[in-house]
Amino acid sequence: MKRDRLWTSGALLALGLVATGCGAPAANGGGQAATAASRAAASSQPVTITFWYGVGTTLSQDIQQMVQEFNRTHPGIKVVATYQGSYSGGGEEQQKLLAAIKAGDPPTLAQIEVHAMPVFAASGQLLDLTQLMQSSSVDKPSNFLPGILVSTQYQGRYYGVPFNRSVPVLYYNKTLFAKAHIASPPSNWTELAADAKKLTSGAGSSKIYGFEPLVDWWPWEYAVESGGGSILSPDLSRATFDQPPALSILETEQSLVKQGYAKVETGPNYWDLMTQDFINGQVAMDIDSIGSAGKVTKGVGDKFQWGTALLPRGKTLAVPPGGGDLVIFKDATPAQQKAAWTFIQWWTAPKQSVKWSTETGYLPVQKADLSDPVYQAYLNKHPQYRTAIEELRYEHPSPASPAYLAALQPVQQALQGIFDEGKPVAATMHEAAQAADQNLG
Amino acid sequence: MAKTAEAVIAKVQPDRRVERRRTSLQLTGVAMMAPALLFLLAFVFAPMGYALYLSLYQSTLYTPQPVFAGFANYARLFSSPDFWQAASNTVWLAAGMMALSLPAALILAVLLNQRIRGRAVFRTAIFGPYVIPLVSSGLIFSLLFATDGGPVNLALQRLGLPPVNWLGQGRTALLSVLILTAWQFTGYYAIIFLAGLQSVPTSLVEACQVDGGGRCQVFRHVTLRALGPSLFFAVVICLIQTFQTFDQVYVMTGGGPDGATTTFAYYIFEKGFQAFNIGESSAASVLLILVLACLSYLQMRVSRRWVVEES
Repeated sequence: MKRDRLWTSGALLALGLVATGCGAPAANGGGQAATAASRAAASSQPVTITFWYGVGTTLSQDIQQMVQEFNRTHPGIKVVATYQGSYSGGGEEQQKLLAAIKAGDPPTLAQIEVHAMPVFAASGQLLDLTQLMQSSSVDKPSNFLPGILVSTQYQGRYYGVPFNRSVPVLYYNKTLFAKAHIASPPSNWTELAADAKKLTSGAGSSKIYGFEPLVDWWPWEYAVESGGGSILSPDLSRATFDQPPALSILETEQSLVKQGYAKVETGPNYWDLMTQDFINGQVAMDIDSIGSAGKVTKGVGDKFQWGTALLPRGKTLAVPPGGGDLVIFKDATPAQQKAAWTFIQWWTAPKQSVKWSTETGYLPVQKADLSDPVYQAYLNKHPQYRTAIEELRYEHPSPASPAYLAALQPVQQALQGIFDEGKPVAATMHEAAQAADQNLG
Repeated sequence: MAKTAEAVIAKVQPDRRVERRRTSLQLTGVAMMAPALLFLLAFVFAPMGYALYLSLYQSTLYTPQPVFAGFANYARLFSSPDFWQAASNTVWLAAGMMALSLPAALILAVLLNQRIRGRAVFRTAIFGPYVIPLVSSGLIFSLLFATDGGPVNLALQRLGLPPVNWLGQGRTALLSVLILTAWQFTGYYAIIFLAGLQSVPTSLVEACQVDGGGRCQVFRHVTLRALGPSLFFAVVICLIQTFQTFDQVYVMTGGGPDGATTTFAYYIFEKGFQAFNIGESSAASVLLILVLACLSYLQMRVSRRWVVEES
């Protein structure tokens, strides 16, 4: 009996070792064998590249279809595209990329949110595309629409190529404007405030509000820069968004909310809820991404007439970039990098770029896209997109600091404090600037 | 407890054969624990050590080589109002759970300890929420607390009260998270209490009744005393669980508005995976580990004392 027990314990111990510690080297061995095999086969087999992106549902389907089309027409390359959760600030795709970089196993290609470009570029993991772009017939910098490349550079080098780009625009309900006898959308904040008052009517659950600000740091960038302020100091070491000019537009927005002329959506779904308020005709104006235009078109249907306008001016007009760019990771083999570059050039060539834009509502990226007859027809049918293209001229780069995303966290909190809880603008933003300074230092 | 048992055996038969048997018993024990221990080593203790190491470095995604920084990360945490807000939110939640969930669990346990019809059904029902993944219940409660058309607000409107923007205001958002957490865990604590109630000696209850004690007195002087260990266990487990609050916040509020629902664990996540500041995030993790380790130690110490007392 004693023996039995000893034997059993030995067996258990062995089992334990196999299940945990010793399992790892065995798995590694397998992995190495697999890569060696794929390398050996590389000469005859297509080059496989992985592509991580962060736009879901129908957009994901659009990407998958385009990728299929690419794979069909490029027998030497196989792109494996995977949806990795949201690519937006702090989204799952960013987290997975971070983990993959730390683990030394990033994908070949990835979609990077425009504000995250400095973080990833500074990590030293991205392939410098400057040379490739300058010698490309498709992706030469001068081929792109002016303004659209602002987010793709870091310290004077190109690390990204515009992929799914957007800008915030002013949406307005033409039917409500006509009812209030307002001829055209406001072009500055004095007009917007006056219009918002005229457009507000009713009470209780059927109340219609003149305006709705989006409680988000993206339009906040516009508010700071257009008010004549700046987000960070020129050397990017200090937050300057608590200076008076940076607060002027926020003050106007908050006073509209406090006077009952503007509605605010809160909670984790604030963005969707705001878009929905406009679709429901509950607000006459809001500042939303041009990327929401498809949803608004569908949602509004024939209920009312609507349009988009340039964001209202403060002292000036500065439009922040939005959306994502494509990057290539350095870790990839030269063959994979070459394949990835082929894929990027194919995607951004007018034929595909126009298809992608007209399918999704994202901005066209190349000058040639605009003269494309397919895109011309699309613009005639959906004049709302003209505003977004026009706004590109006012595109203003966001601070190119790798610590910028971290600095935006206190900003988002402060905006919630200002709009959700009615905290004073100047004091709240001052606190946020101090917190941001900590993250920048 | 194992120690006591061994001591008893040793006293009765201080014999070589027994000693040999003991070594083999220990060996079996070690072998049985080996898989779990190795697993813990690889996935719990090693990462803990690594976090401790990282917490002493200035490490972000965009500084590929971490730079030694001493206790700078800790100093930054202690001087950050956001950190203290997260800590106080967590303490507030823990206090709320103590005040709301544990008494409710005790009442439920006492009720379900009576001979009532469908007792098994009720017992299963109150335990139900505990087995639902927190992410699912978080989603369900987000819908319940929705400002427009959420059932909670519809009910308020029926009563003639104005709708509340539950998840959009600091105070009510944290309250909503507390309500969900209480709903999720109360059944679990009730089961702990129910188990404790089974061990209340009937002889003492009867003795108290013979002495003329009413129901309340029996509860106060006999039941509650006998429940001591369970109560303490539940308090500590409740603290530990509350300090780890993450899923609900992730799903319901994303830590907002204005950091009002950012808990300790969520703060660590934000710092590390959204602001890419691995050093500071690790420092916060180490602090959380310390708090939890103290709580666990306390729990072990006191429960050991109680077990000895009982035997």
